[in-house]
Amino acid sequence: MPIDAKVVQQVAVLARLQVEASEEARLVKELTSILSYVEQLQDLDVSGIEPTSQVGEGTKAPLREDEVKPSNVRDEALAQAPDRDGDYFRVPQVV
Amino acid sequence: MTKKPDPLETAESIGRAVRNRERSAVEVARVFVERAERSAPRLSTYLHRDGARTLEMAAEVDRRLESGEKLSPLAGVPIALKDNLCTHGIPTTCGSRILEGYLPPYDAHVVERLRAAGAVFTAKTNCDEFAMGSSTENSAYFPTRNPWDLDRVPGGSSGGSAATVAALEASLALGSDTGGSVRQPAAFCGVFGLKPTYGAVSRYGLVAFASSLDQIGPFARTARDVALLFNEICGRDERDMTSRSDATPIDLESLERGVRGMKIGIPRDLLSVGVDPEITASLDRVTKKLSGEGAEILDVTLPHARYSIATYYLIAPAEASSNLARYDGVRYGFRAKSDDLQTMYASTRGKGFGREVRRRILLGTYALSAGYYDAYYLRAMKVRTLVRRDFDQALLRADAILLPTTPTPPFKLGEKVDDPLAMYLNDIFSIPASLAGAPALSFPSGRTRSNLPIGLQLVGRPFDEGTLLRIARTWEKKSGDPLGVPPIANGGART
Amino acid sequence: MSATRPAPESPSKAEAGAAPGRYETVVGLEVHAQLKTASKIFCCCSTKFGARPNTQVCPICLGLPGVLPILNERAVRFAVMTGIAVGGTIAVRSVFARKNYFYPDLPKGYQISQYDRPLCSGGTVEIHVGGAWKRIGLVRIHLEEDAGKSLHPEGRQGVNTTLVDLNRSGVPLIEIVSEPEIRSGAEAYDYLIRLKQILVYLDVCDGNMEEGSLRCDANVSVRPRGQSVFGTKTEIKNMNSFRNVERAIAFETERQIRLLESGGRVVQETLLWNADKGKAEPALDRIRALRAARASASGAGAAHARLRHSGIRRRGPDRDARPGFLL
Repeated sequence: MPIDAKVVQQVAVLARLQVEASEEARLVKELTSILSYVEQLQDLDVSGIEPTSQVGEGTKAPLREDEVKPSNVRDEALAQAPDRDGDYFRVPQVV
Repeated sequence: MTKKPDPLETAESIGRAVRNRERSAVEVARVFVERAERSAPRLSTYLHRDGARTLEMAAEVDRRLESGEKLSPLAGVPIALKDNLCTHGIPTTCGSRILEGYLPPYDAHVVERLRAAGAVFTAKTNCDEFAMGSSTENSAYFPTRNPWDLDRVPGGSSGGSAATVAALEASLALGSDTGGSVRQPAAFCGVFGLKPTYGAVSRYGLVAFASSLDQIGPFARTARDVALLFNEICGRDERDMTSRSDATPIDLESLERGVRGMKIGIPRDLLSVGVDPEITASLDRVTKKLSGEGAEILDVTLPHARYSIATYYLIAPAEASSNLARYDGVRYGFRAKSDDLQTMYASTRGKGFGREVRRRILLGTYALSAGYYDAYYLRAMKVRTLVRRDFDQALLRADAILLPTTPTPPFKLGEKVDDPLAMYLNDIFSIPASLAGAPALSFPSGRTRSNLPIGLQLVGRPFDEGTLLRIARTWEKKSGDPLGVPPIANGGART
Repeated sequence: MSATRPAPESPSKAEAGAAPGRYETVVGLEVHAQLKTASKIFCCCSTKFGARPNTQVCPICLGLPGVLPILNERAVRFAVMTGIAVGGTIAVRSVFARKNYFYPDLPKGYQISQYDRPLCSGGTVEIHVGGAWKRIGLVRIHLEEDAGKSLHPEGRQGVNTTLVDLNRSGVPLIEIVSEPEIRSGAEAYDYLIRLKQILVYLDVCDGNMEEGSLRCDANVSVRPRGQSVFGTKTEIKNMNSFRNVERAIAFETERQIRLLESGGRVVQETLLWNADKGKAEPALDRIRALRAARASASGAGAAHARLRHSGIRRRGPDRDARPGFLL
């Protein structure tokens, strides 16, 4: 599907990324250019090929024991909150 | 403790002198702090630097040694850290406005290891925003300059770390490499840069860009120094399930054994995409020298490597779009004020992220969205398998693969910022090893006629960083080229 | 809510909540069960209920920059035990994937769950309704992490905010998905009773809907008896007891039949059960819709990224799962 301003805005909504109208043309051009470039992957025959989502599959590292280890970052972490209400992080209400 | 430290000394010799109490760590640190005070304002290598804290860390090392504690070979060595490595209580911005002022409440695994080892931190270095870029021009704060030519880029995304080591503001540095972000700036700045095998170094505390590709890597001025730093950060960490106990420290003396009997493969098919003639000439020179030292040079093929940029620029943005979803203004970082949540999200992320990051998030989100997943992301993951297999095949016949790190010497600031694709094409030689998860080392191999650094790259078998460093060490000893110090490191005028 | 084994139902009671006459009810249930591990699925924070807000948190479950998940062995074991208990097939290689969406109590902006290769496939739960035993097939059981809690207090001066508590973020869940083989509210009730019995017997879950350790969503549709093609289904959420699940299914069945009989069409939508009114209402209120929808964000219209990670390898006769690893 060709990228146009409408598609860019739809993707922007999915990504929660504000795209100004003034940026649309540039983004259309750039994304089209990149997607055209990656089209070359369609030339390859990948039938029967397993996808690699992770190199090094097959390690037998042990899993973590079910142990509680309290963390002490709570105060430092809450102190960084852009907005808080006592113990809670606070955000504008979901509307 | 009488002699003023020679700043050209290696990390290895600094460490030895400090442990032997020939010099104090404070004395060493002071030299580097003063040097950085002179050069950093012009190079813009760091985002956060605190000379007093550096000296405090050094004083602590001296105290520990005084008390009889046995410290590592890195004790007292000044090390810079890329700003996407979490440092407790020290700003960590990843070169982005969305994390401006963010103070991690914990240290990354590698940071913990280096503290324990007695390393002395000099600065949090500048980088392309969230490690996305090949020139450090995507830093939301300012670009870093190449110490060898201030009008040129130091490479990216770990440009600050590479430049800081090249300019001797630090003896060593850590960066991160996802598609070349340690190797390429190493080449551009004329230093060594290693991307370890995927899984060799714990990523706990490395702010994630593309989780299946990211690795933390050392910058240094000598091959032995690379090994020194690698040894202090490698190995299994229970907090990173992808980290491997297969990664073990390298015996430094094994690097001195030369290359006799080694097989080194050159992927001529990949080089046909186009390489600057001066870089090709450097490759020929190095190949001849290694051959003269007893290595067997052979041709290998990496038939799918030419597709690696396309593969990478689907996989990495896709993973990034997910890894960067947490920057939503809710719990930390920048938040744009708004009365409704969705606007808050969109505005926070729209304003907080720079152009390249936003571009890649959009690209990645698109590639993963319903209807496009199979055609783009899934297909790219399959091509990745083909690229890995090429390396597996080639490394059955060769002990290491030798190729350029970059297709061109360092380019000028501003030259490629307006053409994202042109910028991406820089990575043609570095991405394949990233896709394969293979260890890859960039080492300085010479200069262009205009005295710009050239770096070449060695790629090896999993967890065989030692072989790569041994080959590079051989070149280092036999090349007859001193590493050199850029004029700016001596307070000199810009070249 | 009764936790005892119910007596076999008389035939007339068995029809309770079943579609009268020409129509057949088709119900599939998605049950989320909180696992009784001491620590969370990907970090070492406590899972204890009722702690002061944001006191059982750490960099990992807060979704701070740079953190990585560390999989809890007991969570995997509990999920495998459940899978074995229902006679399912445990995957030799199981993969975690990310469900990406934005919500204030989802700190990473994605939930680590399972998509393509769940830990367990198939299996059955036997129910006893109308004097007969019947097997309800299971599609799958998979592991995932819980999100935190959002509170929406009434604001002062009309400025409304949402408060976020991440104590629950990262608590291990198994999601148990049934085949659409349940045919009435009564069958759904018995299914939940039996499923809870299994979970409690294995001691992997408390099975308490009121406390939230067990949650249930119902997918409900109707079709003329004899028709094999499914009707359009609606999804019902917000049922906080087994009885309410039964009532909600009965209500929705009746609503859909009346709609079809009067020439209307069932619209695929998410409905919220209102126990006080005894009605399932469309989530017209956008806040409630989002709250409900975000838990089922894999539905149509929300494009999702699924990144595959990890592997869990089962080894040998002791059936301990051994991992690959997790991104």
